[in-house]
Amino acid sequence: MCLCLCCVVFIFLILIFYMKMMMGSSFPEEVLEHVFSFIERDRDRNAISTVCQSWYEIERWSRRRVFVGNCYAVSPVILIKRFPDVRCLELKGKPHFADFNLVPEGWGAYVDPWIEAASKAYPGLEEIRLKRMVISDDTLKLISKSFKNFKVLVLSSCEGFSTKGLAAIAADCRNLRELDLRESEVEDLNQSSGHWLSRFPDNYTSLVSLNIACLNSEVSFTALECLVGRCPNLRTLRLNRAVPFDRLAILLRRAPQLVELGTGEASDLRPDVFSPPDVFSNLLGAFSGCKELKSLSGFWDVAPGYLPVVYPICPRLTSLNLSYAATIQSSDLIKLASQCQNLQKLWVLDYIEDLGLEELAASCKDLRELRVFPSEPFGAEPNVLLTEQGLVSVSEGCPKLHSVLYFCRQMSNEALRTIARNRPNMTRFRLCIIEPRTPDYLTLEPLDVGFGAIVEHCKDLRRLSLSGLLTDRVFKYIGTYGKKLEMLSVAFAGDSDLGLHHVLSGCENLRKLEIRDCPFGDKALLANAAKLETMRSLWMSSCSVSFGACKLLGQKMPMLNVEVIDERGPPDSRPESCPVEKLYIYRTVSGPRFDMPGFVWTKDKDSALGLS
Amino acid sequence: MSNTSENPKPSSSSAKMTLKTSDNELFEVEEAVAMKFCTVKQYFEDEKDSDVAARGSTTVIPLPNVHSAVLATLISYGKKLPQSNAVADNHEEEETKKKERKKYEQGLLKNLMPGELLDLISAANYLDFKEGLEFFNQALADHIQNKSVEYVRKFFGIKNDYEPHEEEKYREEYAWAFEGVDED
Repeated sequence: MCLCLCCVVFIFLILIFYMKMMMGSSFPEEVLEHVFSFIERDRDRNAISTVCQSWYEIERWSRRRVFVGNCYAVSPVILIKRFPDVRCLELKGKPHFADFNLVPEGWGAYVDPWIEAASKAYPGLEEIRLKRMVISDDTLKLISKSFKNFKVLVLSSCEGFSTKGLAAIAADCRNLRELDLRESEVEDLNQSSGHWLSRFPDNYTSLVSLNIACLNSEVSFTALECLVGRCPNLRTLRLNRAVPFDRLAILLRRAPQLVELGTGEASDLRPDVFSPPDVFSNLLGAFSGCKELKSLSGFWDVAPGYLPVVYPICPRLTSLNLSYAATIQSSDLIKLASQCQNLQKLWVLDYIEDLGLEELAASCKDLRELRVFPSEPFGAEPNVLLTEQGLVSVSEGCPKLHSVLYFCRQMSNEALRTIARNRPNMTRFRLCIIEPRTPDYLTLEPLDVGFGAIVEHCKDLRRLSLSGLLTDRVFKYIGTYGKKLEMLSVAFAGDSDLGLHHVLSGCENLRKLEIRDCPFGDKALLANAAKLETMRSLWMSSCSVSFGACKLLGQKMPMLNVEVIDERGPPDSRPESCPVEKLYIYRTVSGPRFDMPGFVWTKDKDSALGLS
Repeated sequence: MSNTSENPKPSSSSAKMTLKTSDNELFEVEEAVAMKFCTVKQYFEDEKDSDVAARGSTTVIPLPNVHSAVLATLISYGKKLPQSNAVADNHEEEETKKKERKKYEQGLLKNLMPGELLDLISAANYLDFKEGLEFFNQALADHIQNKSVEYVRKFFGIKNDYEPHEEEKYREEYAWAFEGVDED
């Protein structure tokens, strides 16, 4: 009897335990879906999808926003199979070094097959964001016809399309909110049907964001003014150089609710006898009326005399991009920047000089991101008084500064050490000393120790770009301390394969590595082949990797596409020991690609072309 | 005279309802708050005969799936929400109430045991308490973000049903393709 009771109790406890275990996985599906809807970061969504099989299913059916970091890492078929109901698609194509013209024309990154597939699988698609991809007018037309609720099109550093494609988007995307062409190359096809902007229907009023800053072509001001005037929710307007600065006042008065503005060109505008005196007051009044304006850019050829028109809004500005303002020199830059006490992001030319940066450090205590671009990158001699001191000042004065891109001509280990100690919260540090292999100007030593200090002190550093004279030693530091480093850019650095080996074997979180003109060869690459499968991609150009090693790597690692990019002709027409021009290795689950041009070779090329 | 929650009534209305939990505790709740639980609201709309006052004070609505401790919290949260039958506040009063609610919400989450959050969500789902679900589901999402897969499994009491090595690796294999690294 006692034994029976014990058994019953025991079974009861097991049941309770089992029910508790099952309770979690039987949490109502619609509730889980609701919870998942608050989870947006890719990493978190990927994590929850691996909790158990039912969560994987719920997650994949409810994922609305998909990001694909390399368009050749997966295929449209794989994407659609896993995520059947996507509303927002983001794709990246060419490797980053394409920005420096290192990727030959015609390499790839065609988005057409993706959109073709999406047009059938995702009729509810609302957003497409592309970076460094090639998109045709036909595809733009397909987008405008296929997705009835299409809202957002962002084309960042894209090419292959013209104003004809833009006209199709304008004419047929009734629900369009955002059209952002940042840094893209757009061909101007002078259309008889009128300017593409006038293709937005008269009853179209839903525009929220328009960025046409990169367009080289003329813009119909009438069409623009009409569009701006009838869209009450317009928050972002980035104009191109074809829009005259003095007519800006008209647009601002039509849209005083603007939050982000990119001005047009002002080359004809000079505050002198030839310019009507009320242009200045008109602009000043218009800017004063924009109470929500927080971000400014553009300023092509603006005469410094007109800068005060923006003074009323300076205290509210959080973002200022003056990287195209080649006519604004140091003293005016200082006057402008010192009024922007709430500035968080500043992109500026090196005309700001050390003095300007010192003033910035004193006035803009909320600064988080600074980019200083070179005004004359190809000049042999410095044209401005910008040195390492400017960056040191900002690192001292701006406690929230965590993202830096700095072009300069001199640097020292001491300065780098100071910057590292001042800003251990640095997450992105890109230093570009213009002349390759420039040593520490004080000691003539390599800058190994300086960059070593950066990686040692900045424990959350995710992105690093190196420059100057560097030996294998700097890579040892990076491998030792750069544990959170995800992206590394290297040029004209190192002595031997040991440098590459330190990085590949030490940086646990490395995802993207891009290298040019370094003496890195086969040994380190082959020894760390397995590491490459944990990364998104590796780019190496003008290094010492042989064709033989590439072949071997391709054979050894089936989950990698090893692309040899060589414009000298087929690599097998040269000895196997011959170094390849460029090498792009990336992880993929979709196998070899079939859209390779003649100058790209992979181990599967012959079979891909149907040749034996 | 119909008595739906759309009819504006003075907030000092005596219309109350009684809710009975799974552990047989009785809760007297103002109608305006109880009507936020759509399951309760539905219960009433299914029985539309008697007039307000009588109905409110006599009927006991059974909630066999909700424990008293959980219901207490949900009622408390429901009271803090803007009441549909309250006199309209001016902007200032609205802002003050919003701040108070935020403070209350923060305090509530701070004192909550992890398992209690799951119980609250289950109950809010059963009661079809939309505002409650919105709030607690967001809190749950915040809680499981940035956590390891093992933690999430343990929290929910979920067994890993992937075959060791095989299926999980297969599924994980694609995760990296859908992960961001850096803006550039």
